Amino acid sequence: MVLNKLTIAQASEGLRNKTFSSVELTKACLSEIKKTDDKIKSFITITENYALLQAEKADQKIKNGDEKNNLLLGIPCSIKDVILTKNILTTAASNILKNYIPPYDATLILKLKKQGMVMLGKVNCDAFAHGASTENSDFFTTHNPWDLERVPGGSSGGSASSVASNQCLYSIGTDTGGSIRQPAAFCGVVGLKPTYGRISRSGLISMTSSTDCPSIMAKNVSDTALILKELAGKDKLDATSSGQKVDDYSEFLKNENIKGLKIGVPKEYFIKELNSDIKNAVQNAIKKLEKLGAEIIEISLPHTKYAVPTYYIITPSEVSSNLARFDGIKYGYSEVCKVESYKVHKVDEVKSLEEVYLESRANGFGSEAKRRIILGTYALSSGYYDAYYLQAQKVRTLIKKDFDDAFQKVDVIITPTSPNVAFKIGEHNDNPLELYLEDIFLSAASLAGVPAISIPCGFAKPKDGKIEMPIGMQIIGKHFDEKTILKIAKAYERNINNINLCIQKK
Amino acid sequence: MQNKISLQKVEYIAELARIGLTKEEKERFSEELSDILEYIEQLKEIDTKNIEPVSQATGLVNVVREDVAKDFDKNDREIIIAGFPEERDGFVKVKQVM
Repeated sequence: MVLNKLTIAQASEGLRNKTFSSVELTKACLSEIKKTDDKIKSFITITENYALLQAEKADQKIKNGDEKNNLLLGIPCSIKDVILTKNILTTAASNILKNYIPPYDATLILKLKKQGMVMLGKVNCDAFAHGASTENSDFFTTHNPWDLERVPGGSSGGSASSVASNQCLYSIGTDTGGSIRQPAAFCGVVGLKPTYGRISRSGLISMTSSTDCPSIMAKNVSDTALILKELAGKDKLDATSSGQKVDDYSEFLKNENIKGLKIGVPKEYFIKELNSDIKNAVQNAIKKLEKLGAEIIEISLPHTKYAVPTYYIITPSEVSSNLARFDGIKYGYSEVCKVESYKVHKVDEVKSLEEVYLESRANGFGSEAKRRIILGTYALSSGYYDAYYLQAQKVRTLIKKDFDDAFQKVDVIITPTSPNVAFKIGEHNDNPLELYLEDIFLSAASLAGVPAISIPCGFAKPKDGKIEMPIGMQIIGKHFDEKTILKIAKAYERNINNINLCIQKK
Repeated sequence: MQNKISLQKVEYIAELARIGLTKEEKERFSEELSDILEYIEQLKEIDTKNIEPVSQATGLVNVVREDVAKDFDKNDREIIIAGFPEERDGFVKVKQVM
């Protein structure tokens, strides 16, 4: 038995039956990381000693017979480096936070600690989660485990690569405009962006506060469901978190009957830019669901094409405000000091406070963060606000209304996750706009705040490559109706043998 | 074609955002941001005369709490202070403002 290849449910059973210990499971993951991560490069920080300590504690609890129903106890995971972990370096994959040690835990980390999680380390992403390929990390690029010449997607690229390569059993990342769903599709794993406010944002390094969602990546739908239940719920530290009832998703998934559920297929997502293999794979999956008893209804989401331009006004605007706090006087990095480890060798070159700001931000931020700060500052500046930001927020109302109208008629909406499979590293380096268009099937759900999951639904050979790459299918649901998208996802996964285990193929 | 965001405008915005840019960056951003704005222009074709802007995606309104200060753990305070590049007596020390 290769322990690190297990799903959470399998591993949890093994721990409870004492087939193996959490320390053994954790060591299996750590050794996989050591073996593969010089090529894949998922991790920014590996917390080996901390992980083993947590695993020992978990084993003790299991031995004592405590917490029998706690399925995450002793299960090793990776955490995207935009999520604060107390006393553990948290960089957002950015130069300006390369020394930052948070004084508190994100709410979701506290919840996982209470469950007895084993954190293996912090994983790479696009700096501040700005990007769709993990190439915008200020440190290094993460590679797709299926084909190392390709990107893992982004921004949660390290989360996807670590789960897909069995370096861990699950990962927590974030999805602001597709950052969990797209890398999940590119790496052949399950990625769930819950409803906005379903999981507390307290302790995320904020990017676009109005669409940021802590999100889940796992090897199958059932694992995703059980993690969601543990992380969801209202938090007094996040005023936008929701008090809506949290369902027992795993319990709900036991009933696999999808007869009579209505699936909407929006014509705006099956466009000519869509790769034909992906189109076929998603259409076959829809047919499969129809055979299982779902009703398929063609729908229209007429404002789909405006989602990306709307997103790329709202996001930079919020980014320019959220990144204003990184000013070189309180988060470790500063151009006040010449040497990287602060508090030594202070050199008085920078004379005024304003120069500290200008220089620290000049050298601390990478290109994409700067690009977004400039674009956002412009969009919010006097004379342009009405034309850009206000107009975008109004169009956002229309995009949201598209979903409201569609969900009068259907229970879920199915689309491809991405128009293409994972592209080659460096392919979109010269043109930021090309990379923004990666989000065409993803931004609308983010702007509307609705939940969406990407699950594997096949493979396609890229035009410029020999290795078949995973395809993702997106299932979008009503606000706070994660249970229905999980149910459809599970029904599909159960009935397609080779898919949920596309991971095992690795 | 003239760039939608001129070099001077990039300089001005960078100053507002307190971010230092090299000459090369300014030139590149002027070009790239102009392309991006050109693409975003399509939003103007939508009639939004009677449309309210989104304020919160899931419909929450006025979530409030008492505005009270809470004590912060002494050790946690030390972690914060350790992150200050320059510090004196537990306060952030900054360069001269004027």
